[in-house]
Amino acid sequence: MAEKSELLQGTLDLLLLKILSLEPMHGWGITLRMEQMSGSVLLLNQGSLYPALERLREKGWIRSDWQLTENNRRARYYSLTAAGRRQLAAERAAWKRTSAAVNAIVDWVGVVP
Amino acid sequence: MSGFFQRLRGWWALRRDDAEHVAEVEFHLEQLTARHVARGLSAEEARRVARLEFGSSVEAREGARDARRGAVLDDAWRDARHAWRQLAGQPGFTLAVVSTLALAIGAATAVFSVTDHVLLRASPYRDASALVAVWETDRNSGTTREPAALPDWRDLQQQVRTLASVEAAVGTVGTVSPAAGEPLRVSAMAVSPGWLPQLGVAPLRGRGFTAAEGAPGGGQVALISESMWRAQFAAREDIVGTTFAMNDVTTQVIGVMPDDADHGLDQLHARAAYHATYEPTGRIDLWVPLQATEAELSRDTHPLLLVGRLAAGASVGAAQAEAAAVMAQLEQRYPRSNRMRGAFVESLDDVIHGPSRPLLWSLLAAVALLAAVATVNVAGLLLVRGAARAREIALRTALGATGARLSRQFAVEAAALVGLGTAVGLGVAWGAVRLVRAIGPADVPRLQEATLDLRSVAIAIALAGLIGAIFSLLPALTAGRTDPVATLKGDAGTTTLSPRGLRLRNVLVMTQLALCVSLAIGATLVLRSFRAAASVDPGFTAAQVVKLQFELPPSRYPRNFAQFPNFTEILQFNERTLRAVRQLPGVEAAAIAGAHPLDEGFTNSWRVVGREAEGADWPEISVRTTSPGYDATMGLRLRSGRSITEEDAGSAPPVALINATVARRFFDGKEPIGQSIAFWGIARRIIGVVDDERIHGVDQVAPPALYVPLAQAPGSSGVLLVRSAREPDALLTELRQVVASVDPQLAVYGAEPFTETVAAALGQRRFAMLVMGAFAALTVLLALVGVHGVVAYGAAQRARELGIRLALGARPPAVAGLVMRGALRLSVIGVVAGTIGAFAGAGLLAQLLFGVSRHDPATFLAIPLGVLVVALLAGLWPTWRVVRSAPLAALRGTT
Repeated sequence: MAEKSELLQGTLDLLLLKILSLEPMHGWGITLRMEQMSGSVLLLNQGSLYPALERLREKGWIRSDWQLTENNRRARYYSLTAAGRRQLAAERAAWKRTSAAVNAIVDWVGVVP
Repeated sequence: MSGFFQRLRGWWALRRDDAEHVAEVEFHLEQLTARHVARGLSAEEARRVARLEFGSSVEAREGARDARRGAVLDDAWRDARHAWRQLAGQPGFTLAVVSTLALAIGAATAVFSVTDHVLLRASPYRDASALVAVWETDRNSGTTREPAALPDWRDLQQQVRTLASVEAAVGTVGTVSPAAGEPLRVSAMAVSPGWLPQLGVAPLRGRGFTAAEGAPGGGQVALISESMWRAQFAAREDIVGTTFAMNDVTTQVIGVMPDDADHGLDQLHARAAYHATYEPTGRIDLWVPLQATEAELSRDTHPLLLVGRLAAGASVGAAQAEAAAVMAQLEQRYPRSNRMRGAFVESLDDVIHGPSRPLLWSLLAAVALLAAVATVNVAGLLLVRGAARAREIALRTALGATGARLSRQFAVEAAALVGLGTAVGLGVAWGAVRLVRAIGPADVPRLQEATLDLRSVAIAIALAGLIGAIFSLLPALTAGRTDPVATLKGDAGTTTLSPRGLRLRNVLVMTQLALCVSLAIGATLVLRSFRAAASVDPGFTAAQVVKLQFELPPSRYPRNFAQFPNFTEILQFNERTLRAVRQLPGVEAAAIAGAHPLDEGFTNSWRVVGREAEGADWPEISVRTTSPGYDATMGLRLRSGRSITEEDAGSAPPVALINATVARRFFDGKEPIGQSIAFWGIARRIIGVVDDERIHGVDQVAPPALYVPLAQAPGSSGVLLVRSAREPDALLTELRQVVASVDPQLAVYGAEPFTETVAAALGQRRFAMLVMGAFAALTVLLALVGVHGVVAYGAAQRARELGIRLALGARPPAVAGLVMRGALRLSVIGVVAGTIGAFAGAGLLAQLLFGVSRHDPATFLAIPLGVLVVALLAGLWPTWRVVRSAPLAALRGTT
């Protein structure tokens, strides 16, 4: 079993937006997808998932509606709104900049100028 | 400021999503559990781990939220919103509950409202419980409610100490001729000066009658009703002292009486065994002083309605004893006129309400049954819904919702349902009261005053409170406490009633069936009574006959008894009118009579000439006066002899027809034709025997009656009867024109097809039948819904088991039988209990029944069997549905 990591503060929104940009998904599916995509490294804290979804919804980035699952169970599916797509692009750009910067620092092998 | 709005918005969003969130988490938990199971944990363990993994974080969140807001308003608002979401989310359930409750509350409120106005409202009379009706009795005819003779009244007034006062009244009709417009016929009462003060009703304007006005020659004065004052006199303030023409005599108005001063007088008239020239029009519009002398009204005539007031501390029984003693003395002193006469004193309230009381109490009982069944029905719905929500409740409990919080929420939901039901129910009641006023029987006092007032609304709310209280007991009766673990362990998507809930539901359905069978039996008995009454051969044929009544005023139609029966003006009026009517197109037959076939008319003592001694103990005979053509017009069958013809004029030998009852009872098989009957000092030869006309009402046996040619006994009251296939309204218009052409000043009344007269006579029966029938139909419907629900639920619960049985080769009918066995047991118990209840309670209906035994075997067999059959059919339907789909469900592993 791979080693698990806690999510970095502030990255949950980005990950949720990204996952939902692939296809509409219910909360449970998001948990599974996160595990699968991160190679079971990133584990979603259940208690923070739904409040986060609620927060995104309140900001208008995602919306939710009730649909039937493949097993004919009713579940609440979340999907990205247009605002959500723009937000994803913005956060993604921000993340790239930040992560590049963080990497640059973390991987610094040269001499401090 | 923006922070405030932020908060408001967040608050709103949370409210909206609360229930959805629970469902969402439930879904998540299920998936998580399934995953743990797949990894090898036991189902139990998997569930526990899943809850642990999830629970703590969510609980923390709920806690945080409560800490953040936590205001009472917040909670109340949340409960209300939640209730609204729950109800709006299940429109079918909500509709069923609200409409059932509305029906029950509406019907009950309407019936209460009517009963309240008719029976329970305080009488307009002062200290009404001390008022008594004082009647004379006639041991001869067995009459117990005969009005009094004027001298007898004076004696009773002076001698009976237990009666503080005894006052007299005579009902009559008056024709009021306003300066402009058609003459108006109104009901009037001639009363002794003490009548109104005794009752404690005072004029709104002006004054009452003085003692002088109550003596002969006391002057032409009158009190008018408030309604007439407003309608005919424009409510003018200077009304007192003005004059108008009453029966062509100038009469001075001395005051205005409130409309309710006539409370119960129609009923008093209706109970009296005599006929005055009075016909109830719903209101007494004229009050005139009774100005009679013993010379005019001897001990032989009995026109006076007597009402007395008990002396302080005296009982009705004491007054009865004393009045009877006084009458016994009078019988000794006046052996001729007072032979066999006694006194009967009874509470005035009994006179007024006696006839309508059984009807209204029956309706109250019926509506109580309806409301009970409806409540039980809704309780059943709530029970099943409660079970369906058991998982939600368990989950919320698991997530930390407190018991108090949940109870409060369910209370709010129940209150919302009952509140909605009450609101709609008040609308139903409003319509129902108007309906009752439209179709209600005319002889129920004060029915037209029934309205949906504050008292009714208060009753509706009290009833709603009671129903709400019953509902709030439900959870306590079924579960006590829900065990969240056990409930969550159950299959997803199924709902399970606890064993206690199941038992309660079964009891509820049995109760419903029992109540509905009782009511259906009662309604059927009333229905059969109505049909029995309506299908009795009344001795006449009402179809294609119209009637039109009139009263010839003595001013223009004097009755000079010295010339009896040659009252020229009356004879001329009758003759000219009949001649003109018979010339109208489409008129097959026409007649004028003293009274129409459902008017009791008057009775008289009589003898058979040559057998005078025998006749001393005979009851009085109903005297009918008819013109030729009466038998053809009314379809009255002649049994033997001949009928009255134009030859039987005033100058011709006096003749009479007798009815079959007279022939049977007093001629004892001997030939009556050719013998003579004497009354009014005139001997009349019997020329024929006719069938019995049920002149006391189609549901009453016919009294002894004889028919006298109108020309040989003309009177002031008359009814024109016309047989024609023509449309009644057009015909009546032409008849009015004919009467107006003969006498333009004559007021006519009671113009209607005779079928309506018959229908009105059956009004109380018809009304009882309609209302009880409607209530019974509704309760049966509700009970069937209940049975259907129980069976459908039971079948759904067993779907998997049934599927397996079917898959293993059980025949579908056998499997259906398995499900139906329980339903059958429930239904049989309920139906049997209801039948026993109806058997025991049928006495309540005794006074509404006619021509059918209160324990009519056919009804007591057919109705329970019928209800049983439809109840089983109601159960068979869902059973069959489940049986058909069960194999698939079993294979799929879902239910």
